Amino acid sequence: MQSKEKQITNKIALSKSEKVIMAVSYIFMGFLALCSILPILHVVSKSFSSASAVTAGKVLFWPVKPQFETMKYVLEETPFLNAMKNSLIVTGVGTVVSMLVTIGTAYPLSKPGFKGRKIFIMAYIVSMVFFGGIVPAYMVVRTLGIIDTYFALILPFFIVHFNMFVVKNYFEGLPESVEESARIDGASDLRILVSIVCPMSKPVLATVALLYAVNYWNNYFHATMYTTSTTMQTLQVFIYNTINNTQTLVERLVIGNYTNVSIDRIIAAVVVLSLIPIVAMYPFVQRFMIHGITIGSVKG
Amino acid sequence: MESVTARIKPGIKPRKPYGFFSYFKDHYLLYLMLIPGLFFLIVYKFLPLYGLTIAFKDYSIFAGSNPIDAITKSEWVGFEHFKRLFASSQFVKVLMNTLIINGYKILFLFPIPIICAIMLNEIRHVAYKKLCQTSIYVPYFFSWVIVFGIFYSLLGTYGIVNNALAALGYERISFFSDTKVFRGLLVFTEGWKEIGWNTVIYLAAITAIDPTLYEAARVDGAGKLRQIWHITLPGLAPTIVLMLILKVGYILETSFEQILVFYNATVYDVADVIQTYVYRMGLGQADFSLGTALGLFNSVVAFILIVGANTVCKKLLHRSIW
Amino acid sequence: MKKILALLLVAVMAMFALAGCGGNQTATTPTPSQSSQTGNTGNTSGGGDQKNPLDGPKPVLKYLGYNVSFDPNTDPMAKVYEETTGYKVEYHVLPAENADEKLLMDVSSGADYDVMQVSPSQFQTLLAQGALMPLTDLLNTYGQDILKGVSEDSWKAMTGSDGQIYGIPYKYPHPQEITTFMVARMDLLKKAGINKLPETIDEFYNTLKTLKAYYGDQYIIFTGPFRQASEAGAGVSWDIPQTITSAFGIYNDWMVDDNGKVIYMTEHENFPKMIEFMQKLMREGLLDRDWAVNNTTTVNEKLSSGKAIIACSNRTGTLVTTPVMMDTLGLDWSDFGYIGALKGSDGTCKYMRTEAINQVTCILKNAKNPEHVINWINIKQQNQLYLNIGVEGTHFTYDENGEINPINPIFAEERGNSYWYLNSTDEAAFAKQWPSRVRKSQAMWEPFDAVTNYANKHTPEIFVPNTFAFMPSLENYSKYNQSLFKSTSDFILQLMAGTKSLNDLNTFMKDWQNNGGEKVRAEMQAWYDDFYGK
Repeated sequence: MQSKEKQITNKIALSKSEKVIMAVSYIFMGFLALCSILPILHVVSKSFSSASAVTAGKVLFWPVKPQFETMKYVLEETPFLNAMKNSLIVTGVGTVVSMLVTIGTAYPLSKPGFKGRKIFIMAYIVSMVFFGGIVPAYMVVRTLGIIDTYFALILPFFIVHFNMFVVKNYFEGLPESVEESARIDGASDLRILVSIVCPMSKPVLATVALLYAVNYWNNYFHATMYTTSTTMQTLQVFIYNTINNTQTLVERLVIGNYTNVSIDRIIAAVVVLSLIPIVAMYPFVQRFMIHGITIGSVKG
Repeated sequence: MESVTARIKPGIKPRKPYGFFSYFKDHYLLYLMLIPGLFFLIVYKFLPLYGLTIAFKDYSIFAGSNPIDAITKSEWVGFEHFKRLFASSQFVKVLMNTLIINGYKILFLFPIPIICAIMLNEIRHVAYKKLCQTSIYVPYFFSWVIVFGIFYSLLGTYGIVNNALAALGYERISFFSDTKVFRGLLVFTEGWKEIGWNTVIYLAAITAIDPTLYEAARVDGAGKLRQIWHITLPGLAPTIVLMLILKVGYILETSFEQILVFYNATVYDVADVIQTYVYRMGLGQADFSLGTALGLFNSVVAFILIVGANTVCKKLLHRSIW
Repeated sequence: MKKILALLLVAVMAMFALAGCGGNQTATTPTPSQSSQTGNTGNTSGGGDQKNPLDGPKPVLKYLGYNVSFDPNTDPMAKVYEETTGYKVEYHVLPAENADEKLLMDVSSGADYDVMQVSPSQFQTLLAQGALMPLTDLLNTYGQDILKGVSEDSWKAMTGSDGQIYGIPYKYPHPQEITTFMVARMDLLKKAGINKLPETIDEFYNTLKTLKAYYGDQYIIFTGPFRQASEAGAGVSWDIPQTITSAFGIYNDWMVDDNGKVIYMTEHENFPKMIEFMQKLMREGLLDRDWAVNNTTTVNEKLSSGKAIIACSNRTGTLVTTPVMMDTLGLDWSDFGYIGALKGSDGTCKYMRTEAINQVTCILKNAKNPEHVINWINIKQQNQLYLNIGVEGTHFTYDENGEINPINPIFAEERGNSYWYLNSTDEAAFAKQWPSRVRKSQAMWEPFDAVTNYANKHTPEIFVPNTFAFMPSLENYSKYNQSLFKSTSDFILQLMAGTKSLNDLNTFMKDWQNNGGEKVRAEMQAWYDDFYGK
C-alpha cells in the first residue's frame, strides 16, 4: 500500500508550492520535536550521569560518565516491577474491553436511521458532563464487590465518551454505499461492522485504542481510591509515592552507600522506565495510519 | 467531486416508512451491541448521580451506616454551599481568571495541533515523520509535578534561560512570580505537554481523506495551499468541530493540577482559578459538599455551553455532534 | 469473523477472571478459625470470665498506616516484627494524595481494619464522628507497658469528651530540637571576610549585606524557605524560617500573650517588624527572588549545586546535599556552618518545643480483635530497643558516654524502616535511643550537634513550651486551622513580594475572622482557661 502511494506521487513532479510547504513542514516539525525532546533528554541524561558531573553542570543532553546504579536500585529495591506488571495488565485488558464496547456503541449511533438515536446520544452527553462525585462512585465499586481488583481499575474507563464520539464521527463519514451493497447481499449488521466497517476504520480505531491505553496507563486517582493493598499498586501510584516520600527514601540510600543515587535521579529513572512501554506503543500504532483504503471497494 | 466526509448531519431518511418494531426486528443486533455501554452508563454514571444531592446537603459521611445512607440522613441546606461559593469576594476574580486563562489556551493552542497534523502529513520521509510524531507526543506522559521540575530548572529566576539573559546583560525575568508573564508560562507549558497528544487525533482524521482527491486537484492545477484549504480542512472539519465544542464546553474545568503545581501566592491575582480557590478554602476539611457543589456548577455550565455551541455550529456550519 | 469472536471471548473471559483477581483476598473473607473470640470488646472486668480473648491462634491483623514509598509487607522489618510478636500483619497504606478522603470513605463504608495509625488531625476527625473504640479498659488489661511508657500529658491529648482514652500517641522523641536551621558555606563566608556565624538578627543582616557587597550577583545570598511541595506540606510549612521568627518572639501560629489571651501570629506585636525585616532583605537583593516558588527540592538543588551561599534546610536536607557538595565542590566538614535560632536586638529568642504528637494509633469501633491489637502493641513496646535499634554488637555499640552508636550499613539495612512500624514508645527511653538514629549519617549529626545540642547545652531558655501541644480534638480547630494557616502564609509571601503591604493587614484580619479565625480562637481560649486553670 505504502509503495504504491509513493509510486503515484513520485510520478508527478512536485510543484514549487508543494516544495515550499514541505520544507516548512520539515523545519517546523523538527523544531517542535526538538523543543519537546531536549528538556526530557536533559533530565534523563542527569539520571544516568555521575553525581559530580551533574552538579558541575556538565550534563546537557547526553549522560556524562554514565552509571546505572540508579536504574539498578529502582529495579531491584523498589516495588517498581510489580507496579509495572499491574499497569500492563490493566492497560492491556482494559484497552481491548474498551475498544469492543466503544465500537459496539459508536456503530449503531452512527446510523442515521437508527431509532432512538437521539435519546441514546443525549444519555451519553449528559453522563459525560455530569458526575456524581467520588463518594457514590466509590460505593458502587464497593457494592459490586470489586474493590482492590483489576476490574475496579478498568471500570472507570469502560467507555470514555470523547473516544466514542470520535469513532462515531468517523463511522458517519464512511460511504454508505459500501454497507448498502453488503446488506443487499444479505449480510447482518454485525457482519457488516466486523468485516467491512472496522477494516475501513483502522486509523481511527488504532488512534482511539491508543487514547484508551494512555487513559489506563496514566490513571492515578482511581487507582488510589479503589485499591488498598500494596500489591495492587499501579505504576502511577508508585511514582507519586516515590516523589512524595523522597526524604525518607534518600535517608535509606545515603546510609546504604548508594552514593550516586539521589532524589531527582530516582524520579528521573522511574519516569524513564515507565515511559518505555507507552512510547514504544506509538510507532506500533502508526502502522495502521494508512491512507484511504476506503475507496476502491466502491465503483460508481 | 463530493467530499466523502462532508455528510455528517443526519438528515437522511430511511427508504421505507419504518415503524419501531419492524426496525427493531431487522436491526436487533444493533441494539444488542449497545448493551454493554448502557450497562456501564447506568451502573457507573447514572446511579452515582444520586450523589449530586450532596451539593445540597450538609454532608457528614458518618451520618448513616454507610456513605450512601449518610447522604439520605444528612441535613438539607438547599443552595447554601452555592451561596458560599458565589458570595465570596474572590469569586468574580477567580471566575475571570478561569475564563481568561482557558480562553488564552484555546485561542493560542487550539490551532497548533491542526497545523502540526497537516504538516506531518506532508513529510514524506517515513523515519523522520515517526521521529517527530513520537517526540512531540512524549511530553504528555509526564505528570505536572515533573513538568514543573523541568521548567523550573529551565525558566526559574536562576535557571538556564535567565542565566543566559544575565550573561548578556539583560534583567532576569521571574517567570514563576511575575504576574505579567505567569499566564504565558501556563499556556506555554500546557502547549508543550499537550500539542503532540492532540495532533494524534487530527492525524487519524487526515488519513481518512481519499488521496485521489489530492491527485485530481493537483491535475487541475491546484497548489499545495489550495489543496489544504479545499481538501484537508474540510476533511478535518467534523473532528475540529467536535474538539472545539468540547474544549469550549469545558472552559471552566481548567487544568487544576497544572495550576496547583505551578502557582504560588504572589500570582494569585492572575492565576487563581475557581478550583484552586475552592481547594484552599477546603484545606484539611475533606468537605465533600463544597466540592460536589463546585462540580455541579461546572457541569451545568459545561452542558449549557456544549449544547449552545453545538446549536451554533449546526446553524452556521451545518455540522453537529449529534 | 471467527478471529474477532475469539478475541471477544478471550477478552470477556479475561475481564471476569480479573474481577476475582486482586489484592490480598484475606481482606474480604476472614477465615473463621480466628474468630474464636466471643466478639465483645474485651471487657474483662473482675475474674469470672470463661474465655480469655487472647486464647487460641493469633489472628492476622489488618493494619493501615500513612503513605510511604516502600512496601511494608516485604520490608525486612516485617519479618522481624512478626518473629518478635508472634503476630502476622497485613499492612495497608494510605495514598499520598487525598488521604483524608480515602480514609473517611473506607472507614464510613465499613472497612475492617484491626488497627490504624493516622495523623493527629485525622484522629480528631474520626473521634469527633464517633468512629473509634474506647481503649481505657483494654489498655488497663493488656497494655500495662504502653500505659507506663507514655506520659500523662500525652494521654490527656488522646482523651475524648467522655474521659476515655481513644488513641495511643507516638510522640516526637526529641522535644528541644531546632528542626529547621540554616546551612552556610563557610568557605565563601571566610573569603568575604566573615569568620564568625551570626547569632543575632542584626548580625545576620550584616552577614548577608557583606556577602552581597562582596559577591554581587555571582551567588544567591540566602535561599529558602524549606517548604514541602506535596499536599502534606500545604498549610503546614513555614514561609519564614523559624530560626528568624524566633528573634521576634513568634514561635507558633497560636500563642498566648502576657494577659493569658490566645492570639494568632498576625496579632503579635512584632509581626509588622518581622515582615518589614523580610521585606528589607528582599528589597536589597539579599533573598532568592524565587522565595515564593521554592520548595525543598529547589532549595536543596541551589545549595548543592553551589549557587547559594546560605540556605534553609533540615536534617534530611543536609543528608542529601552535604555528600554531594563534598564530592563535587571539594568541600570538607569545616566548610559547613550551621545557624540556629537567631536572637532579636533586645535579646528575645523563642523557639518552640516540639512536643508534637506525630501519629496516633487507634481502633475502629467495630473492630474484631482489639485485645490482640493492644497485646501486640504492648509486646512491641517491651522489645523497643531490639526492634528499633537492634542487637548490641551487631547493630550498635555504647560509647564512653553511654550514647548509642549505630553500626552502618547493617543498621540502616535491618532497622532502617522501623520508624513506620512504631505505634507507641516508652517515651523516656526512646528519647535516649532515638539520637542514635540521627547518628546514622554524619551529614545529619553535624547540624544536629552544632545547632540542637549546642542550644540545649548553652541556651536552653530559648525553648518555649507549646501551650497547645496536648489540646484534644476541637471541632473548629480541626475544620479551619489548616486553611487559616495557608491563607496567612500566602499573605506573608505577598507582603514579601510587594503585591500587598502592611496596610492590608486590617483587611486580612477581617477575612481571617470571618473564615473561622474567631471561632477557633474562642474554642482554644475556652480550653486554655480550663486546662491551665484561671
